[in-house]
Amino acid sequence: MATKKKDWVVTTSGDRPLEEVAKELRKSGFKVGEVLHEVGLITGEGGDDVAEKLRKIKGVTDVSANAGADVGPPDSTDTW
Amino acid sequence: MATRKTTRPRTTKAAAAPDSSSRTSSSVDEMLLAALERGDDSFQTGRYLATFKEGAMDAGAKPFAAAQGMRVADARDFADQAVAMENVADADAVVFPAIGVALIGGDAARARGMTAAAEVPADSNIASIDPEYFVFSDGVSNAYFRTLDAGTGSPNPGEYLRGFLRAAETIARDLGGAVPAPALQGEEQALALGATWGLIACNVPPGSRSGSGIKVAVLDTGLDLGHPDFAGRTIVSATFVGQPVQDLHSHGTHCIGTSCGPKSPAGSTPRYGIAYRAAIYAGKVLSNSGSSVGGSVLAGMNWAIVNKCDVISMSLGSPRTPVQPYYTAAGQSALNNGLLMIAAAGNDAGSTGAPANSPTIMSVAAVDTNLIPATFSDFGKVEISGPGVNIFSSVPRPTRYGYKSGTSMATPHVAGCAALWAETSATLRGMVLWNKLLQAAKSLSSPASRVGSGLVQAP
Repeated sequence: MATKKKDWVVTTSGDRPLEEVAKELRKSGFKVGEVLHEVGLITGEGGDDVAEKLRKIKGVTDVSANAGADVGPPDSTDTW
Repeated sequence: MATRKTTRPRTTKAAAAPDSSSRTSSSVDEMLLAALERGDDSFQTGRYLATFKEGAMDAGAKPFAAAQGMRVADARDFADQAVAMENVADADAVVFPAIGVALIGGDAARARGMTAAAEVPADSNIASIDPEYFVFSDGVSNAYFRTLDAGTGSPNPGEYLRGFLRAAETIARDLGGAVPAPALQGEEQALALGATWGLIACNVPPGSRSGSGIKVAVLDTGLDLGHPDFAGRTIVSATFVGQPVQDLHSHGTHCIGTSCGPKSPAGSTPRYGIAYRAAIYAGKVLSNSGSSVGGSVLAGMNWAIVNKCDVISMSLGSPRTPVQPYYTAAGQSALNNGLLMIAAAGNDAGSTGAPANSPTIMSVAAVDTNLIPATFSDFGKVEISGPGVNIFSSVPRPTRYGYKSGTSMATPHVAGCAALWAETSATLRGMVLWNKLLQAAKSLSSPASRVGSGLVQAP
């Protein structure tokens, strides 16, 4: 059974064209969200099993769950 | 190199037409946006409230609906009569028997001549029809109006606003937000000196720099694009969360106010903004509820770098999160491009959160008016400090100004000062600018793990 899907961020080394890496990520079952050229990152969705596969792809230096960010509820006086 | 396929953010454009936003199922956000877009400062939502005569509800609601050919949702159809407004779908009216009131959608009311301007026939079951008004959280606005009263006494908020503020408390509670007592520390000083305590502590007012020619990106909840204090400014905006850039949260407008607000706001309002001639790049990476969606923060960072924003300010983060390699990579890309990313350390009185904990991103702690670290300010990986307690700045209309506390507020003080320094020399960019900020910081007595090199200073 496939594991639960999560948001991941793939960090690349920069020595392969990003689109080429993205293509390989897709082949491994990763649902590519955005290909961010300026920062060399690819965001997307997949299970833990897929993330494990991505880590072995050439040019991929890291695959981490997207930590997200928050600043608290609207109009509050205490924030992030 | 392969062809680049950059996902383009949606730029700000007007949202839905006003009329379609005043349905019974419309969200507050939709109606607020529509009101702001039609330049309506009447605080009316566009919907109407029909008050039934005492005891007339049961007799009145059904014939009322039948006679008018309306589709009516009844609160009694919901468990505990807790009507989920988004679930009333296409109902023209929602009836609340317990209070004898019906909410009527704008289109439905107008189509039947049932607006407030229309006369209610004497034999009707309805006592009156009135416009529905927005209600807002008041923690900050109360404080602001008190400031005005203490100062020159103008403008007078007026009776309608007082009622407004009372009603707001209810909504704030409904939204789950606390309604903290407004803090007044530093206000008297600000009024006397014409600038906020934060700007004075950073030595901003005596300086001659304005941030002219410098691009400052603020990745946050957006900006109130129609706020009078930003009229005539260069503003480039983009959204990464599927909502218009227009800030319905208040955090983004407050942060942009501190980093890039005007030199001389109207009336008795003290100066609260630093780089008053910088180009403002407002990237909406947090939704109106204050959280990020998918890769929105990263997409915003990418956008700021594409646009060569000299200073990229991020008053956001995730608490107790280890260093994220992707944030480190983004910070490195910025430095490689001669740009500087600055982030808030965080407010959970623990170790610095992400992205501020990345070595390539400058981490900012918060100090109070005594220049002592704020009790909430995160520690460990801290490069520099900024004023972050009881900070006065802009918030979205109609409130316009308010106080907030957090490393979120300290960060735009650093971003604004960074823009002033960048203006002084074209060589002060990226890592060189980073080093200059630390070198120029005012030494504080607290350990570096709490305040870094000290309090940020303007040139």
